[in-house]
Amino acid sequence: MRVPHARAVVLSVIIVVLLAMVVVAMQRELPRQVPPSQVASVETEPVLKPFSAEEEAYAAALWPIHSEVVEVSAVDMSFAGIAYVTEHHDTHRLEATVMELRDRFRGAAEKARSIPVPASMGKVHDQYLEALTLYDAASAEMVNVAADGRVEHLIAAQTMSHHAAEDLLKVGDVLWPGEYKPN
Amino acid sequence: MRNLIGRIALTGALVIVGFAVANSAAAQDQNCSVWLVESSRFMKVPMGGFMPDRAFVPGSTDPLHNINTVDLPVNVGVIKCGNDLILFDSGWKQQDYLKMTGSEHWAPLPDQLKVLGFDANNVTKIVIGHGHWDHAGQLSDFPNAVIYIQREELNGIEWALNYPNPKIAAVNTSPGGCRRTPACGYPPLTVGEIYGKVLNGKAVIVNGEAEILPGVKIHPAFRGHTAGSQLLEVPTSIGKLVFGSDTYSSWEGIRDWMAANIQQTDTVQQFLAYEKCYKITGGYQNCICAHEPLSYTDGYPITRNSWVALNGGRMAEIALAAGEKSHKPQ
Repeated sequence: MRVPHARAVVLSVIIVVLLAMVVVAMQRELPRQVPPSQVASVETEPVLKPFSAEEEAYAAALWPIHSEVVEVSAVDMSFAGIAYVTEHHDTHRLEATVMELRDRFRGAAEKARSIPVPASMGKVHDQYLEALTLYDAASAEMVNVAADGRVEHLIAAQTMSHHAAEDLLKVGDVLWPGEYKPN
Repeated sequence: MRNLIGRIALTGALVIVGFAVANSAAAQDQNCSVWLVESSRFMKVPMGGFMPDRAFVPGSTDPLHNINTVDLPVNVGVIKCGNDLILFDSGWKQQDYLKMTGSEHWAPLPDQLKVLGFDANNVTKIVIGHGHWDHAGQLSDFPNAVIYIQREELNGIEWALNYPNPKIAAVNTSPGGCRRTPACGYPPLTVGEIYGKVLNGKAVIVNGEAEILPGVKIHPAFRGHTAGSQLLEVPTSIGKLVFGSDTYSSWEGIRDWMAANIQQTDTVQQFLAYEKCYKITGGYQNCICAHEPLSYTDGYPITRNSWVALNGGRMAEIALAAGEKSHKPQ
């Protein structure tokens, strides 16, 4: 009886040692739990709230005005100024280009005002219209250069356009998130 | 007579040695110090969107097809040549808008320069590799800097804007993603900032090649990424570097001859721009890329001397000119 008991003890010890070796080996070989990275961003992932049907309809109705008229015209306005300063210095040509752009901004504002606006989008809508008003005012300031040739008019207009362009991005971030992708 | 010949020979030899020493000193003076700053990081971009020939194939073990998404840094070059402080590209500005770009680790570039030991007001030149929003932003934060942009870049945007088909003229297409239309990626804010520099007499509109400082050369890479893309050659103590903005989006792409980040890109011109780096630097190691996912690691050796700075954005010290002390935190 004693011998089998001793065998059992030895066997148990061997099993325990083997198990311990397995545990140690697993700890050494298996991938370690990676601690939270110190380089992790402190920013939180923006969470998108799904739009209601009315909000979707509003964003969809404003999109062609924004994409095909407003943004293109806004960039065109910068180019009108660049061409005047670096190439032709022709105030009448500048005036003609900018007046056409002003009409486009006014037309866009008129169309935007005709879109049904859900209550939840009132603030966004006002911000968009405010941007269009700023572009209208910037256009008026730009054409003043035809009267006296002073570049200060263009600088003042560019400041207004800059604020309007920021407003467009802010509205875009709400209505068309991801409008600008890495490129 | 022999003495006279000997003296003349000695004098000649001394003159030659003198010239050699002077030239060597001058060459050393021209060397620039270079750092790379991560303006932000675009997270989880599909590999196939970045490099079409490495599109992900589920289950594949082929290293060319087994990567699903990549995180792309937006790299800005900081170059100090004598008293001039030059930026190559200027990143973009994320304030309370442009949050949905899928980006992390953004910090204002002036703040990033400050932790690197520089003052934004001392930036003298900004070379815009191309005019897209994520590379030509924050210009108004560098009031004393003169920007360098190709005429061809401006012409390319203007041509697209005036194209009669609105789908081609659009600055942006399809809610939720700017596609690869000709004027895609040039929002009013970015172009407006370039215009602001023009108005304030702080813009040089370049036509092709230009040397902006001794040995610091702009090379056109038209249609390498956009209509008027450009490269910047910079002499350093480790040899010449070539900054490529998005024409050099991927360093692995240059090494392996693969197109990357195709926007308004003619891939033939992108490959010719790759070749330009090989010719100027003698290989691919010194080609500085805007979005290489391996940036700031051993995988992209020239950027491996790196550290983590503001908001988790990374920086690398690439080369130091004689007398320039390290800006890497100890």
